[in-house]
Amino acid sequence: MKLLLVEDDQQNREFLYKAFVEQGYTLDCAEDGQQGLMLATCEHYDAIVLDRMLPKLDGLQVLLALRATGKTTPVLILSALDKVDDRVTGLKAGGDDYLTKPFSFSELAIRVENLIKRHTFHAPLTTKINLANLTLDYSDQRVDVNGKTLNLQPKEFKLLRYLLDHQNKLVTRTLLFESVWEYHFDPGTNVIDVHIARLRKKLAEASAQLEIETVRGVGYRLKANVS
Amino acid sequence: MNEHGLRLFDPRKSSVWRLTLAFAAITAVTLLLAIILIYQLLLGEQSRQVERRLDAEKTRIEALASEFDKGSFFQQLDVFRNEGEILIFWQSEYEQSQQLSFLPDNIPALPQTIVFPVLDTGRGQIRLLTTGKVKTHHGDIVLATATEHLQRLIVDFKSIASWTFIIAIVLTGLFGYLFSRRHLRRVNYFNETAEQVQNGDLSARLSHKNKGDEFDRLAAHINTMLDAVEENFALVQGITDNIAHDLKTPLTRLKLNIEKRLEDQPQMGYELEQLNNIINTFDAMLKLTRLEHGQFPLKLETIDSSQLTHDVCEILQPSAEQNDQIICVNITSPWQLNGDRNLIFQAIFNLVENAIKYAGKGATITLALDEKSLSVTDNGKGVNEQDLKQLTKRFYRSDPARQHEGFGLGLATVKAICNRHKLNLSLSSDNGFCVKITND
Repeated sequence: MKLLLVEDDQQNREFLYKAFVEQGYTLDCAEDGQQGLMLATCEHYDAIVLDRMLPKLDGLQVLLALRATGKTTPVLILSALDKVDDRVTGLKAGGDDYLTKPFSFSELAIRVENLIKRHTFHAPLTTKINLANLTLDYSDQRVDVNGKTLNLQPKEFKLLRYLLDHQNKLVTRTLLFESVWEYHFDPGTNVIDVHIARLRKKLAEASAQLEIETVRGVGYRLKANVS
Repeated sequence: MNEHGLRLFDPRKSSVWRLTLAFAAITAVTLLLAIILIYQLLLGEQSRQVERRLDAEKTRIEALASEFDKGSFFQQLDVFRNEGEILIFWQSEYEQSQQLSFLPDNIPALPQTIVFPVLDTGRGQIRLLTTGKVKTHHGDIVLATATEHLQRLIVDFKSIASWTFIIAIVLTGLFGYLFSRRHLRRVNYFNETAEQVQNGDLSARLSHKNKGDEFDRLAAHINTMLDAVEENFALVQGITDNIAHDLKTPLTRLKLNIEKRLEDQPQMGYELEQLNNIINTFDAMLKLTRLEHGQFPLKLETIDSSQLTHDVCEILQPSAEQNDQIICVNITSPWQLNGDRNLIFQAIFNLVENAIKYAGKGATITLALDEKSLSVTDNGKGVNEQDLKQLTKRFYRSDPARQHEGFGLGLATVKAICNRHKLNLSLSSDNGFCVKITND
């Protein structure tokens, strides 16, 4: 997987470079809009992470110019501006996702992964996801643990599915809230924690060999807990 | 005043209409005075001449009566009768001198007169006579003079004068009404533009002609003022955006670095949480400020308010259960609401979350929805009168110790969201605490 990172702040650029490389991506970096646009049009990338405010050529202009050449590479916009209209103009200009600074790397990583997945979408061979002794089948909305069906509320099902889709990865609360409840809003830590606690309890009662780990300050990680 | 109200504004309430009424009154008085003056100068003078003639004749007859005896007196009258324009009639035992077939009984003594019509058989026309009596010791003598021309003039004058008066007043009123409508339309245009600006659209300008009247000059001035405001605003906006940018870049570095170190040092999670709190407070303040100053453009759509209500309830149910609280949803009929889905969701969310935080253990929280209002009521210990007014101010929290998590921006944000949607927010505390959002 090859990414293009266009970010003018050197420290952040280097940090993100290292972090993405650790995740197994190949990366090209650009420090201003012109350079970014040149790379984006000449090379092939699986996704582009584009800062909104850039020297020489503004992020939005880069995006508009890129789309004008017919390139459909998915683009995630990073911005210090959290205004809704900014988000809307960013997405209208051809951006595929939008993340406000300061962000957590886990969230950026998952959003980029989702973008690439969505862009190169293939119908999955199976509608089932397995982890340890749990099977989730999203075609008939069913979760089985050791062959026994688990009784989950619709939102709990969506929550578990999202965690399973991103198993072993850190998932932030904002991401969870956005994908499960579909509102663009930060409900605060406590509210999601309570829902996770409920899900945990149900999984434990069914003796699922899974663990939803809370990572303070970031979010949750679902992993198998085979002892 | 809302837009609807502006469009339906009654032209009769405008200041021009009041001026019109005043002007109409002045016109009426002036016209009336002019008519009276003209009447007196033209027709009044002629009437007085008739009276003077009758009076002179009266004096003569009285003199004759005192000078001559009865027989000679009537002989003299016979002579006079054929001399002037004045007609003389009398009744006596000697002779009845009467060219007229009829004399009314109620003829007053001069200088009082009455006017009555007679048929002049000689000329075959109706004539009007102004008549009065002279009392002499020889008997009553009736004097009369034909005044039909004068009477006709008076009647014509009166009818012309009243028509002129009515037409002048009606025209004044009509033009006044039309002017005030036109005037109001232009004022409304100003109002609408002002409202647009108030709603955050600083690019709104008034169109006007360069050579124009006082309105055009006013429009030009307002436009110049708006240019200056917009420029300053952009400047401030640029500054806040730069602050946001300059602050957020190092915050991003900090956050990324702490997150990286989290793998080896899980205790750094506490620092990260603190940092997240700072960022959240900062974002919430920015958002509230933008909402309050109309800089937060709404993404308007028709909202399924019952879905929103259920979603809020579903999300917060587990939190309420932790406090042994129950959330009841009571939907009479769904509220058709045009608004920003995320903002309205946030408003309802904040209200229910507040209730969970402050109503106390075991409370019941009721979320009620009907076709034009939404309310969140709890049966907790309520809020005292003083706090009620302060609650929607930012950073105000009724617990001085600030034990609860939060920034004290919740209700302030709800208030700002309601204002932005032109919804009415009311707080009350009878039994427990009740917040109601209505569409007024």
